[in-house]
Amino acid sequence: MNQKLHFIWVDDSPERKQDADNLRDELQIEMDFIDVNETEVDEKLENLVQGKEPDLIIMDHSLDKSYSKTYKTGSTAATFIHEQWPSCPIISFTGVPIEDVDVRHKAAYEDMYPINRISEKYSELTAIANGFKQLKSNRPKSTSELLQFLVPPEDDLVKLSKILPKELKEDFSDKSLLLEIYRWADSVLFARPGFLYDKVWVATLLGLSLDGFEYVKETFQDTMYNGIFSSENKERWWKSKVLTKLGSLTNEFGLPWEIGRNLVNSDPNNFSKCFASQEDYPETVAAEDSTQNANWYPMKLMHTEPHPNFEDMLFFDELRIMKPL
Amino acid sequence: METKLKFTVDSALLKELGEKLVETVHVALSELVKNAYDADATEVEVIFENDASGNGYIKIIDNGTGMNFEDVRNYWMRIATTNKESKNISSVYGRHLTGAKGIGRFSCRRLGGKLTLITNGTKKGDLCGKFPEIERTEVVFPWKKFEAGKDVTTIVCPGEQTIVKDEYTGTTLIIEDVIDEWTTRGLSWLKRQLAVLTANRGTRRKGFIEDPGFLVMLTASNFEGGIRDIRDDLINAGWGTLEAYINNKNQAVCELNALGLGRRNIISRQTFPKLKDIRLKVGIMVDERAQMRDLSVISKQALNAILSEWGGIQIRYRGFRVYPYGNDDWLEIDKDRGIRKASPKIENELFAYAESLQGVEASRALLNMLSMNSYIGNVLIGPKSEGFEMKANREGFIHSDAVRQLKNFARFAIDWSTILRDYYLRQQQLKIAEVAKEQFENIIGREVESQKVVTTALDYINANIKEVAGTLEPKKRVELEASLKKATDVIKTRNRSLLIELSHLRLVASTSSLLLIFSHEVKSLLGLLEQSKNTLNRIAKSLSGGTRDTIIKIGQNFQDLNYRLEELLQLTSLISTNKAKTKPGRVALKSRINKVEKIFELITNKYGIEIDHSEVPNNIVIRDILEAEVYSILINVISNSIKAVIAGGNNKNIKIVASSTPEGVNIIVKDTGIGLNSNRFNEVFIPFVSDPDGELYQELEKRLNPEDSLFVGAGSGLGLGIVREIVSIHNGIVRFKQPSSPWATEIEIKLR
Repeated sequence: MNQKLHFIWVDDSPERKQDADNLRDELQIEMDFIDVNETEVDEKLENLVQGKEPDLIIMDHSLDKSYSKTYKTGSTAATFIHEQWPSCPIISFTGVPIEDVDVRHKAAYEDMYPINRISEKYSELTAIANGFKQLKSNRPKSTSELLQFLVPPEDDLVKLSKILPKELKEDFSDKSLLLEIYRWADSVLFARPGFLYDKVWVATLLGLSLDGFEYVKETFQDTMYNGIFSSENKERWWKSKVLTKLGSLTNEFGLPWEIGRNLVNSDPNNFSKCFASQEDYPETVAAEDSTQNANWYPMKLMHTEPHPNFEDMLFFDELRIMKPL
Repeated sequence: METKLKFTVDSALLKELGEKLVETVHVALSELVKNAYDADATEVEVIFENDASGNGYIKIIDNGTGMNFEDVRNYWMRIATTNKESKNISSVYGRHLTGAKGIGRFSCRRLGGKLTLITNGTKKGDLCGKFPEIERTEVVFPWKKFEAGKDVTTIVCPGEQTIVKDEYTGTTLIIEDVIDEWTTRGLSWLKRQLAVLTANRGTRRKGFIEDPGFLVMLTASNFEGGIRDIRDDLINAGWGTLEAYINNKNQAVCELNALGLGRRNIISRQTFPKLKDIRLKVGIMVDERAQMRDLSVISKQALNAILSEWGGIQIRYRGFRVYPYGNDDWLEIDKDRGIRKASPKIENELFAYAESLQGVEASRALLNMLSMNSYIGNVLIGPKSEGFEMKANREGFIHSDAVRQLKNFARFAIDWSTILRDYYLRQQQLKIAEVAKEQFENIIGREVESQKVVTTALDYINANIKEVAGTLEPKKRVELEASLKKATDVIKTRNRSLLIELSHLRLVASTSSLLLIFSHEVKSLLGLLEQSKNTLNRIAKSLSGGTRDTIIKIGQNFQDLNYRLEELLQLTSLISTNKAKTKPGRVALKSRINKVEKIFELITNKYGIEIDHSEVPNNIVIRDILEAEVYSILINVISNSIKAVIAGGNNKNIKIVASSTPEGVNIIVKDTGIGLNSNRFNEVFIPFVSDPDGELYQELEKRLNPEDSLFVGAGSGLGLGIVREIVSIHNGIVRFKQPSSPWATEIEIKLR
């Protein structure tokens, strides 16, 4: 029987204990809440790292209600913990707008989430903790061993090994290797469309609207990413598997967004439309504008242009932006 | 009787020619250094010293090609001859010759009473360096013996010519019985001349071997307090000197010593782990006299010439120059200038640094970036460095992390200095304003508050002109006084309204801080809503039936409230310190209209107001604008329409249409509200004139629940003024138009 996951929550707001309890009950995990309100964080952290390494730590970003000259924020505390436990994921929950947090603080954590969206992140927390657990129990010693954790399609193996950053290919004894693997997966593999597609991208690839895709989602279940760190909240599909599957389902040759329509009995309500022009057969997904939280929509290539804020990456799709009318 | 007559030359001619050709000792010395440059020397030392008896002498030592026996005989010892006649570029490095033709001897004569010439050259000539066999000439010229009445050819100059083994080429001139005409001004002139030569920090010329550059070391304890490297003097003469190195924590340590700023330091937070043993030193040269620290070293005119030929940041790898760095834009400085790069990236620590400087707008802090040619200096890569490998063709380094980090390191230092220059320029502007105020105060003989400078100045002008007007004939005087009154009234009125607006904007700005604090507090409370929902859901799991559903429903309400408040707070965060939001970019109109509609949803639902924006195409995008500016325009205009339709009391319809033209984006907002009299179309844009006819708020009061007045804005009178300001910044216009039926008001916004 699998051992329960063990989380530790460090916070200077005692009322967050309730959040920790909710999380514990929802995920059926073990949870220790370390209240550092009006106490010396230094001592608590020293004691913490003397104990058993948990599967995941949740850290409050602002530690202004505790006493310490060293640890004013969770990020400095996280840096200290990472020195002792270099393979322990640390996630920060915070009430401050995440986009306003300095990047250097963000970099100390594996991720930062808004505290008012915690329940949306439950499945990701489990995915991260389980992912690290797997990696720790069978630490990769080579590129091929590392790639096996992603469970990629055979066709993608060579390309994936090429785009792995040097840090992940050259020194498998590096103590922060597992953190680097997570950060690369989270910020590149899952974030940039190329090998993996999110729902908008995969629906557009198949020529379907988001609603239309819901009809065929089950059919494409076996094309979904199920490697380490996969979670319900961050559904991703292997593009190459989706295309192979589409071929086998339709037995047709042609552009995927054209033949994909056959999957929904050619019901026009389920077809994707270009956000900019309302035309049929949008070939890509593009940002509506250049703002930080811009929406991404299916669009015809002709109504888009390369996004100035993103560089091209080998084997990944070009990120584009809507052309102004 | 046949006879052959020959000219003889009287020694007086030498003196005569010397004084005519070489006016001052400074010119003389400059010519001798130029001769060293033309002889392909890479270093020349000029030493002013006194011997044990206190007699001054000058030594000029170079490592150029020197002269062989034949050169000495044919050129040096034959008056008015020169080998410079036959060529205009030097033989070893291909330098353009700088010295005047054939006046080296006269220069020596001009400098002192006795010259000892020691010159080492190769038999073949035109070579420099160390050779197994060198022709060495040492001659003494006792100029005092060249007195009037004596034939030059009869005067013996003692010396010897020998072959020496394993020696270097070069020339040493020792001038004794020094003529004491040295002045500080003259020395400054000399330094300027030499600085131009030392700007040659190495280059390659087609058909010649690589020129390593030219250094002048000036030792003149009596004048300048020690040994001076003229190139250092040149670098330090510009607006600033920037030095940087990598410390043992791999951070960049930078120091800028600049005009008006003194010494400033920074240690980067970012690290450059692949770099060690790296140093950067550059002079930041601005071709404006006011931005030079030492005009004795460089003139504006000479600087122009130097920068165009020798400007650029070079790389020296273990002592040798690496090409093409310095001839090209390897730091992408000119590229960034070309695209008007305004600031460092927001996540870059320099952005925060720029923000910390008073008066500097971080988002525009790099707009004063100088061109690559305005930097004179090097990045030195020392022997302990690693990761630098030359390409096979010796043109630059093979790409590596170290090379990338070297570029980042140098750009970090340059960008930091650019930000400080921006700060300097802004401080200068403030000083100029302050000086102008002081000068005015001196004129009128009393102090003036900053806020009253304009009105006081107008009063002063008024009084003076009236005095002049008194001398005119009565009719003209009346005309002049009437025009003067009109003009000053206009200025005073405008100034008064600007001051009031400014003070109100200050108030608004201060409340924006309160708003940010408030939103921060509310944001952290949203976590409690989420917590309560999650706790209720947990409890619900242990319940069944209707109670369970009720609990879940309450939890859902909490979640809805959580998300709604979060959405509203996102708007307040647009005025936060997040730098990404202060960078103009493309903003899609439709989704912003959707959001603003959502903001007003509570009130539009409550009063049955219909906002129709279905005709706004999805791909209307406004360029080069802040997201906050678009929201500001929409919120102000739509809230006005909401107020108008509530006050109108009948049909409560608002329609938004938008279109795109080659000139920009047009937005039209129409409503069926209370309407606006066409003779008020302009007036409503004037700050504090929110309701010129006094009808809107009277009607609103009747129909609007008091608790809702805050939501749609109580009418500060600034809303449309702010819209007009934003629109005019974007070269657009905003105006009310005569509406077509059934609309009561129509406002058009054109953004370019």
